[in-house]
Amino acid sequence: MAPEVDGDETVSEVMAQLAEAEAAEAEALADAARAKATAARLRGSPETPDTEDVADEVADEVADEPARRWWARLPWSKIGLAAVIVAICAVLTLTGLMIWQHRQVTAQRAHEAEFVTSASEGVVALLSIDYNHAKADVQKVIDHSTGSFRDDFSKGADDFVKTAEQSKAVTVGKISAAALESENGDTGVVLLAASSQVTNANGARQDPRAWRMSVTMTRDGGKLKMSNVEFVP
Amino acid sequence: MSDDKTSPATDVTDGDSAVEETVEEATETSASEIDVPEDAEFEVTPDLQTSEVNPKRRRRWLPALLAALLIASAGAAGGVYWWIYRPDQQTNAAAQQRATDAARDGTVALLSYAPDTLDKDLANAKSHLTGEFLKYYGDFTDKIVAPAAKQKGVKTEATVTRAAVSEMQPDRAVVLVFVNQVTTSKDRPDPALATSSVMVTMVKQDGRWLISEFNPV
Repeated sequence: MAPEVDGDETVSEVMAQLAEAEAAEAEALADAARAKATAARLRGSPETPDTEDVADEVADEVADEPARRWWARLPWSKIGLAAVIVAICAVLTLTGLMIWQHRQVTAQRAHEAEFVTSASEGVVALLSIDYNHAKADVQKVIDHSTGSFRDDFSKGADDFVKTAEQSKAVTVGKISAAALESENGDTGVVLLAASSQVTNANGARQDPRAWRMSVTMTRDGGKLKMSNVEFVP
Repeated sequence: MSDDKTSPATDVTDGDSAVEETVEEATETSASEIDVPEDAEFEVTPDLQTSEVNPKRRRRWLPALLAALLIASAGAAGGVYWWIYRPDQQTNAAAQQRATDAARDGTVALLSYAPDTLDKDLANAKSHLTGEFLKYYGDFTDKIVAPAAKQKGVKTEATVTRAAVSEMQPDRAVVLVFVNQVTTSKDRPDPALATSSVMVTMVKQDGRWLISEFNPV
């Protein structure tokens, strides 16, 4: 055989081949001995029992050698390396899945925060009307609305503007607390604790009024807008 | 081969030659594949050392590299689990629901009492509280609530109409609760309704969510 230095050859492989060769040799020896015994028996030789014993001894030796058992011939070092590689792949996959999941969670958090921010903006607009620019303020509320709430509010908008202008009052809304109660993709309910303070024409400030509100937000043209506004009694 | 009792003597010769062949093969195998590489590395083909991967060196660094990779990847997985995955699980929708439920129950316990069952009511309330707020509530109820409840027959019952999580961390949560409280007393037997919004700060202790702050807004 050519003296090749194969990069993939390992000592264990060579050892296994050697062991196989030795096993084959021993088996062959045993077979040969048995054959000899058979031949002798056929010839009627008195030596038969002895030769048979030799054959059996050789066969026993072959069976007893632990190195000849089938599992001893498996390339354990290769199996070990393969197992470690599989383990590394499994652990990396698991890590990847956890990171992927975290990205989902982060995206979900941002999605939830958008509901709270949009609802707060909408409610501040709703509670803040300045008689100096009442029409623009009311339009701002309409811009923050969609669906049935937008329809209802738009109907009364003109009267609302007139009342605000006549009152000569400035109302300022403020959000004290807001939290997302429920959410389902493009629609969600936000609870808000808000207050509004009215300053009338002669500059007198009234005590702030507290409001508990439940606002349903619905996505409309990429933006979350108020589709239902409830004052929780 | 052992069972062929009728086999003629020629088989024996075949068997012998087969043995010889096998032995030769075995000797050849061991000679060419074990002895040669050691010589070849340095004398027969010296360029192998630089151009090809040395099988001996490869044997040494491959298991070490794999072991290092296994340890590193396991460490990374453990870190990602502990600092990223676990906190995510502890703040998910189910965890928020548990914090919200605890805030509801605690708020109701805190604001509901009757003169007849005062001690039991206040003890129950205290079981939902922790930290500074527990101390404050203890003092406040001992000095003000208990005497008032007994002397004036103040009976109050709270319900939480709505609640939602405002902030969520693995062991801290802030819950916005809308509270309705109906109060009656000897002086004012007609039920008086008070509505309020409260930011309830919850902390997790030994797996239980307890109220650590209670701030009406």
